[in-house]
Amino acid sequence: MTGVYSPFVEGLGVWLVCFFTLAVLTFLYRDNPLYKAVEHIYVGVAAGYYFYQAFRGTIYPNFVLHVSRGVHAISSGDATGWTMQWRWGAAILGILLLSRLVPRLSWLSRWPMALVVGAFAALNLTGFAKANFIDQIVGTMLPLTSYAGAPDSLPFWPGAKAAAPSVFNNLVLVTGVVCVLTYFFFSTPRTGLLGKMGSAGIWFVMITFGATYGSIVLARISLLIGRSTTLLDANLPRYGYPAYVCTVLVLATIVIWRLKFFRSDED
Amino acid sequence: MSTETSNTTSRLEKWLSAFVALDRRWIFLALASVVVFFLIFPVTMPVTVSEQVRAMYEAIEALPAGARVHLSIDYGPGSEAELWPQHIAILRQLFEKDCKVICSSLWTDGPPMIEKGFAVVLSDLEREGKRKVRGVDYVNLGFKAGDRVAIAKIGSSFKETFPTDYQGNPTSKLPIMQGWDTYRDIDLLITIAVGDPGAVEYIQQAQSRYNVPMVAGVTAVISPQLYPYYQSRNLKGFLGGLAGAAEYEKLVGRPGYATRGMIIQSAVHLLIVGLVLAGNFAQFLLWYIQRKKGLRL
Repeated sequence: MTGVYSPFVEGLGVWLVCFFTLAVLTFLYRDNPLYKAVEHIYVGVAAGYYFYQAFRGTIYPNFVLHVSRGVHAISSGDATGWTMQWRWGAAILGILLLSRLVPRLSWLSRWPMALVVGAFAALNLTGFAKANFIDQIVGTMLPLTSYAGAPDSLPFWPGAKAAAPSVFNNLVLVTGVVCVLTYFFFSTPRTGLLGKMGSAGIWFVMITFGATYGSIVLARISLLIGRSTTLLDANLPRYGYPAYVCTVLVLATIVIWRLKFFRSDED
Repeated sequence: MSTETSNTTSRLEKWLSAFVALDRRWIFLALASVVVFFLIFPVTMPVTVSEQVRAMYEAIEALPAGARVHLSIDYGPGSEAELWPQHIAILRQLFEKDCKVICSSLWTDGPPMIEKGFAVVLSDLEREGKRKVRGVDYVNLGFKAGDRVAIAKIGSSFKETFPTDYQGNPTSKLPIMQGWDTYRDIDLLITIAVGDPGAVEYIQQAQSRYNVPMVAGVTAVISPQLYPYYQSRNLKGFLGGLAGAAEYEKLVGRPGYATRGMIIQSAVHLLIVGLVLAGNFAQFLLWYIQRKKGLRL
């Protein structure tokens, strides 16, 4: 990010990044006051920031600006300005959501909540039906045999070489879908072929869970690499070696807390 | 001899018990050591490009000059490690293809990430003598609350959903926003996303509704969810986590942060696999010794 921000802002940012990263990592040792302080600062800053972005990105352009343009149009004799005032309805519904804070009036929040739930349900239903249901059924209708007369045939599977990987993938996919669906079919006792397919289905499910868990590990390690790279890249002489200085500061704070203020019953 | 064997078994048992009950903080330390070691002494390793990553690269490469691309940046600094390399590689490729880049975000953290992405890529391009103009070649429409509702609304009218851009300029007056307004006018939808709302919500509310071509860059946690959508052709391609970013860096011919991270990732994975195997082996051996002594079934 060199050259994008002014040197002072860049330097301050680098120091804050180093200090807060190391302070949060102290939680790996155990819960401590430094971690708690940083956590509270983060929550406070995030709440303020989210409110600001919500106002700047949504409330101001989609309500304040729209309504004020309507008022301006009305004052200059343009009757279409009245049509821009309907967003007051949305604003009032939004304010009604806050009535949950007053127990006596909390029932008023049910109306906007009903609207939100209804709109979300309708949108999800249509989007989900197409992308997650119909498209997935279509996506599973795959050719399970290779075309005849393909060049360079495999000796054990005539005509299959050119399309062998995709045919194999298709077989695995279709078998997996059928077996997993059989596993979740509870209307008949799972015996005989149905039982065997159900057992194969649970294997497919377990392999999927394993792959997903592997991806989660991959993601968490990426975050560790990201933080470590940031600390190392920021640790430059022109900033005054912030990673080294912050490490010493954070370690000293933890040692002092452990020796002077730690009580074993805190665990 | 019998006493010696018994002593050895007892020592082994003690050692195994200690290993099985190893404080997790030693594992954290080992992981950190491996990461720092490979950061200080970097080693390059070959990166193999997977099918879905190549498909994504080809989808962007196939865009004509002047194509309109909606790039939704749905992540914040917390996921920068995985998604920033993807963001930069894709944005640079789009600018090199002379595409019109319309950025927005469904995450409050997104708009500053969009600005940072523009700043980094445009300063690189300026050094190469290429100049892009805000409002003409690219725009940051900012954050929009509303999750799925916002996506559906964006699809029906960009200008109504975003009356102003992130800088407060009326979008109806920006040159880049002239002559189009809906997803039917968009040549490619790209989301770089960390969670919900993100790629899955865009597929459900934008791709399947408006049939707009779509690709995605996501974290490794999300990537297993996207394979069915790639299989069903809802997605033309996608990148998963740091590995996906490294593969993409190879395709665009600009190895960077993600490529550097892959050797560390591989080393840490080996360490984790080693620890899992060693832990299970120790547990099994302990069980076997104690069973022989009649302490366990």
